[in-house]
Amino acid sequence: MQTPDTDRISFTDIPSDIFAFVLDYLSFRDLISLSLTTRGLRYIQPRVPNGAEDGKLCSALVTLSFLPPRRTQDSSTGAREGTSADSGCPDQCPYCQHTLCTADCETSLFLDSATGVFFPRSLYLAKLKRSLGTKRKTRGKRKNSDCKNINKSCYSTIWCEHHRCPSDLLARPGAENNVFIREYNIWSLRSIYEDDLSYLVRHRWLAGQKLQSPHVLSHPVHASSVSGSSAGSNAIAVNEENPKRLRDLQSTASLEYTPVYEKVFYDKICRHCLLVVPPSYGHTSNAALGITLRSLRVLHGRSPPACQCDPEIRKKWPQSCVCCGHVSVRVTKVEVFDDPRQLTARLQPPRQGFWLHLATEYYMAPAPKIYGQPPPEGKRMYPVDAVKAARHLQIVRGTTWDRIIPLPPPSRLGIHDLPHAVLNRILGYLPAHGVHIDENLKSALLASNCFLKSWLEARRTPGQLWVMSPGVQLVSSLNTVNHERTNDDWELIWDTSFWERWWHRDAVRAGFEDNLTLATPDVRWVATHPPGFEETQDDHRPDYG
Amino acid sequence: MGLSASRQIETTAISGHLAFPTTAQLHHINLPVFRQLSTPTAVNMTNMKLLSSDNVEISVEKDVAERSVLIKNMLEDVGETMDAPIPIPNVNEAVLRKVIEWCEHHRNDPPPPADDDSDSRKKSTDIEEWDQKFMQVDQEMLFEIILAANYLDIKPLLDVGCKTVANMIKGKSPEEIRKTFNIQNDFTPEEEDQIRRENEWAEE
Repeated sequence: MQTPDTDRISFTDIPSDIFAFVLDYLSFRDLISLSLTTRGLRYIQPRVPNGAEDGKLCSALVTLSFLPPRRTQDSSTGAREGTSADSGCPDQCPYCQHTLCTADCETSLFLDSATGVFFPRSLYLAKLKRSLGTKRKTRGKRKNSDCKNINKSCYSTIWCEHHRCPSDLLARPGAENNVFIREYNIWSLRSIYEDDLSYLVRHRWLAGQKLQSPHVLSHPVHASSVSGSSAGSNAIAVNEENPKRLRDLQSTASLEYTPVYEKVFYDKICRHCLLVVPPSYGHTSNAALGITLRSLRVLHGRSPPACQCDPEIRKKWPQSCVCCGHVSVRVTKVEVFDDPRQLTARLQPPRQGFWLHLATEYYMAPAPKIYGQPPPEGKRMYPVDAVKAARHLQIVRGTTWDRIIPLPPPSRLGIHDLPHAVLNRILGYLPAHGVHIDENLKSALLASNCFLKSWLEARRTPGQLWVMSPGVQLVSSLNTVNHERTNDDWELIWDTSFWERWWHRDAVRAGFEDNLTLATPDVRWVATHPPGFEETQDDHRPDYG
Repeated sequence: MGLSASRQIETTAISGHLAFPTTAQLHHINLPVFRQLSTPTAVNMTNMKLLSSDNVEISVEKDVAERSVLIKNMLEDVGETMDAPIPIPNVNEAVLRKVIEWCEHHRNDPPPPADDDSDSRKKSTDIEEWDQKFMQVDQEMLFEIILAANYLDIKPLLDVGCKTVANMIKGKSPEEIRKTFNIQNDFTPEEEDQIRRENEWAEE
């Protein structure tokens, strides 16, 4: 046994046997990071576990990602110099033919060819390097191979502060043959974030209002706001002056507005393959790990690609590639291109545009106290870099966003911050009459997840837990999930009696079926999107429309 | 031991709590009626004293103190006759009180499983809410608690402390870890270059 010292103790003074306990709780990636903090901790550099696929490569890439950039390297500008034929990356945007920045561009967002998701440089770089390494090897063996085919396994394009394809690209004549549409169809088929558009028709996802005037469409706002950057005629630089122009446009009486939705959810992805990390039911604290509906769908074989890294090792470590680890991301589904059909289509769902996902790094942390009281949620999600995340969102929104009147900034204290007891009290004033669920109550439950959660919590039967799937189906029961009050629980815990009672009441069921397009998205939202996750101080979006 | 029996009975805990006489004390002063306190329930309520490194006596219930395997073994070794404060020479009053606070809260917890393989511990760094709040102390106190838990052999508390430190490291870059723990970056640029060179093959 070590004996404690009465002098001041710091981290580096922890005796080695206790330090070993701490190391036991750290992942491979964390161990590499810690080993690079000081010379004295180099010895904890972990050895690649046996059976880890590409373990040495992953280990080296993780190490490089933690090292500061070379002193001689200037990465302030990502402008491409010379040809990139050797790198195997596309040097021109295949959609608009604009010159792309290199991977060194600090604001670059890589559109992953495999999934159709934009990933920031911090997440994508390892995959890119791994991909390029593989290509070089392949090229070495097959000298006559077609570089264009090789490129397809890499990223499709880069959007950054220097380049973003014009929003009306696909509304132009001949756009039906654009490469993007081909790729988009493939992504839609095998999307890891597969969902139907009706999902978006919810006030919950309301991001603002879009100017829908033909005048605006024929004279896009961005035409006056192209910056003098390295962008060419097709490239639209993100311009913060546009809101002012928007205000001018708002004053024009002839303008027409339509709501703009941006679906948001959170997930856990493997840093190695950037695919959803499937859960392990054998793990006792799945709830704490944060299982998402997509993860559950992976488990039920109902989903396209999920992380398959190191399946052997995952028996011990129920998460992702053992060397690269995993990361929480917030995924925002953004309409990136105008749809040429949208002016004539007045159907429900109202608009069928072109949507892509943007992943930004988030982390879970204890929620701040509210008026000195513990918040309703134990933990919430926060952006790793709020400024960067906002910038990335702005890049993907591009000129489409220029025509959007965003929602007013969120209030400091929202309805979701109220204690559940208070919310239940509010709901108590919206009583159910007889067998019918009162319209007011139903509206409240559908309008805000915090209402639904507090309502469920007051009626939950402990011990019987169910997992919900899209379309209001009970998938399976889980009887061993902890009842810890973190927001993760709500992805899993459902009071079956509540759903059964509600669903089987004819009157209510009829009401549900009438509003199925409304009810289904909400249920899915609750299941895929742990309550409270979206409601952070740094990243606040009102969920009550 | 040096004090008379009557003097010991008069002693009250420094914390302000009444120090109940131990069964050993009652036996010593030969009061048969008090000996009835040695029923199982009464034994659990028996107080004992711990002496911190800064010479402060702290009264604590025996079953609370016995969360420490060190103290438990000590009591077993000396039998029921140990009535003098148990010296804890390496733990000061503030830290000892924190440790006792934790032991009091967890007095009814089941004993930790004997199987302590690292794989099962690696799976989760979840800390229950009360323990999280308990560990919301400055870093120096956190490390003191960890060291005290290690010294007193209170495995569950040691685990909570180590998990807390691990959570402070998780997901951080080396620079952020340095900032968190006030660690000096002693790598020379040449050493950093060397590490980079060792791994650059991954980018070639």
